[in-house]
Amino acid sequence: MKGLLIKDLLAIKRQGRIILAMLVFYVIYAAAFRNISMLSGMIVMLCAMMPITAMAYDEKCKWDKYALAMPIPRKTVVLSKYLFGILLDAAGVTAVIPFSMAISFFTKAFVLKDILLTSAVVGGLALVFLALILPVMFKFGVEKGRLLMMLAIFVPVALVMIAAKLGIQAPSEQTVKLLMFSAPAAVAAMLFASYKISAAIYAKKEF
Amino acid sequence: METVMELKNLVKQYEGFRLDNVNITLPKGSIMGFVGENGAGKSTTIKLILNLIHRDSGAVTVFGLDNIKDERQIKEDIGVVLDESSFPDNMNAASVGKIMRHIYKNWDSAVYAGRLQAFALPPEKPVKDYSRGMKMKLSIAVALSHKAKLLILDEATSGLDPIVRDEILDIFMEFIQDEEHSIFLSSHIISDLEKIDDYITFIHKGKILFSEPKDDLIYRYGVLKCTAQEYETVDKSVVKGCRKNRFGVETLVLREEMPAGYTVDPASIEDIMLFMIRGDEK
Repeated sequence: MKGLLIKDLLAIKRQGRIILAMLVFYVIYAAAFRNISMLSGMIVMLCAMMPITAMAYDEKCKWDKYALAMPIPRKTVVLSKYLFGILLDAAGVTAVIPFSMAISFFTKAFVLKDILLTSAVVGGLALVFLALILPVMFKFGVEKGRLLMMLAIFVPVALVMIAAKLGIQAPSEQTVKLLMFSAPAAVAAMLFASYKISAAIYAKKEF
Repeated sequence: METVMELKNLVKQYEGFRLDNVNITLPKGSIMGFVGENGAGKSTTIKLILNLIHRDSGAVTVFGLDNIKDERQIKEDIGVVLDESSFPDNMNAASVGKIMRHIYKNWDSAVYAGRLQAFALPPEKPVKDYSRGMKMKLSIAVALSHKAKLLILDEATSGLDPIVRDEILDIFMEFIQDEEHSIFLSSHIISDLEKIDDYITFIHKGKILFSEPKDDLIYRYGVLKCTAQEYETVDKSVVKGCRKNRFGVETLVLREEMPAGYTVDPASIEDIMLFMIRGDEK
C-alpha cells in the first residue's frame, strides 16, 4: 500500500507545481475580489482529482498489469486510489485554510467560522465527487471515463439550478444543520460503498 | 527432478482464439524458452500464470503452490519482466527503488543499487529518457533485487540490439548458476533461446506442439536435402515437414529412423519450428 501511494505521489509530482501556481493565482484572486470560496473550491477539487491523474499515468504505461504481477492484491490497488484521494483532499483543505485566514485577517471581510465551514463543505464535496467517479474510472478507464466525469460534475449542478428555477424552496436552517452534522457519516458511507463497487469491478478485470 | 512450475490443462477461450489444454512442466534449475509466432498464445499463457487474466479451466502451480490461492506468497519469489517498461515516464530508477522497497518483503536496496551500476543505469535520469534497452535492464534490475527464485520474462529481449540482448542473456546465465533458480522466458528470437535454453516449449495457434529438452530435439531431428525423385523413395512416416522448391526438396526427418545412405544435416531449433509450421506438404 505504502509503495503504491509513494508511486502515485512521485507520478504526479509535476502536477504539484501546477497546483502551487494555481494556489498563488487564486490567493491573489481571493484577496482582490474578497472571495475565498473560489480559492478553496478550485484547490481542493484539483487535489481530489489527483487519483484520476495518477490513473491516467498508470494507464499510459500499463502500470496495473505490472503491479498485479507483483505481490499486490487487486483490492490494495483499488484502495490505494481512494486513500490517495482522501489524503490529497485533506492536504488541499489544510493548505487552503491558512491562506483564507490570512486574507480575511487583512481584509477583515471573513469570519473564521465561515472559512472552516467553507473548507469542510468543499472537502466533503470533493470526496463525494471521488466516490461517484472512481468506480466509473475503474470500469471504463480514464480516457472513456472523462466524459462521464463531466456528467458527474454537471448533473448535480444542473439539478440544483433547475430546482432553483422551479422555485423549490431551499431547505430550512434546521434541515441544513441536520444535514451538516450527518454529512461526515454520509460521505464516509458513500466512499465505502464506492470502494466496494470499484473492488468488485477491478476483481473481474483482465490485463 | 524437482518441479518449480507446472501448468495443467490450461484453457482460455477468447473470441477467435483458444488457448487449448496447455501443459508445461518447468524443472527446477533450468531455463525454458517459450517460443511461437506473434499471437500464438505466449503472452496469454504468461498472464494466466500471473493471474492477470482469468482461466476457464486447468491449474497452475508454482513452487508447489496454487497460483490463485497462494498468489501473494508466490509472487514474492517471482521476478517479472514484461514486454514493455511499466514505470511512469517521469519517474527515475532511484524512485523505483523507493517504491519497490515497500512492495517486496525481500527487497534488497544494496543489490538494486549494485545492479543499476552494473547495467550503467543513471538513477536520477527520468525513465522517459532511457532507451528501450535501458528500460528493459531497469525491469530486470528490479526482478533481480528481491531474491526471486523464478524469473518470468515476456519478450524481454525483442526489440533490442544484438549487443544488449547478449548482455541480458549473460545476466540470465549468471542468475541460473544458483541451482534454486529457474527461468521461464518467452521470445520469438530463436537464436537467443538456442544459446541459453535447457528446454524449449513451442506453442502454435494456442496449442503446445512440443515441450522438451533442447538437446533431445536437436538430436532427434535432421534436415534432408534431396531431389524430388529421391524424395519419392523416402519412407513418409519419418518425414515431419517438407518444403519443395525448383532445386529439390528439403525435409525435416527423424534422424534415427532414416535408413543409411542419405545425408542428413543437423537441424536447428528454428528449422524444426519452421518445418513444423510451414512445411505441411508431404
